[in-house]
Amino acid sequence: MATDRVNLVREGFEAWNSEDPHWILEHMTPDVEWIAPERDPFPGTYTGYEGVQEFWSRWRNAVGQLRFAPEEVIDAGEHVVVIAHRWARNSVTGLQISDKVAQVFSFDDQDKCVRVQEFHDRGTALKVAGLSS
Amino acid sequence: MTEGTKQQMDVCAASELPSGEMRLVDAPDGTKIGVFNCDGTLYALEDRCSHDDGPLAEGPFDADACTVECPRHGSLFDLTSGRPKTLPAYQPVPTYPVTIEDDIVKLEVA
Repeated sequence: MATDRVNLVREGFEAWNSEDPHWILEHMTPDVEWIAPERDPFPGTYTGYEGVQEFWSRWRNAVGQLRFAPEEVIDAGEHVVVIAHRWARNSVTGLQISDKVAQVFSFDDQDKCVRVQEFHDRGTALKVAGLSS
Repeated sequence: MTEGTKQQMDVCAASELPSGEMRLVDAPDGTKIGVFNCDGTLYALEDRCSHDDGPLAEGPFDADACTVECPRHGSLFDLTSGRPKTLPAYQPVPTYPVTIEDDIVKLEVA
């Protein structure tokens, strides 16, 4: 059910903020794709568990541990759209970030996440998920 | 700046770089460097965004905040340190000592 997917995504953010990324990987398919936009420190498509972990590792090295506060979690059937505030501070470089990101989580019929797409604007994320902004 | 042989180069007369202005110069090794006047204090950093090599010094310059914004993807850099304040850049860019001697702005470069 779509509602379960919304709850699953909410739990995923809680897991992330609890520094439990393995919980997230357990709810992804082995060939999951994580697609970061061009205007990202690490743009590109990251595939599989290793790819996703590499993407996370790059972020961690750049900005420290990212935290997320989902502001909207929108049911879009096979997709869940999240508009989240994210923030971090790299204690070594002093870099601080505080911005918003739009993410589209796509699921298979087993409620496993098959794709995560990130955007810098809400409208594009909604459009990708088949919703109007 | 990295260690090595350093030399001074003239940028311009101090009167030609008033507060709120930027002067782009070419170092002897070909490096482009932006020299900025932030309310009377001079700073210099490489004209190359650490995100994707964009022409950083040529972006919008806020003399009050002492920042410059990369015109390509919008990363904001602190001119006093060369450190990015916003993404997508996350690494600092090189900065250079800049002084005024005999009314001439001088830059210390490699």
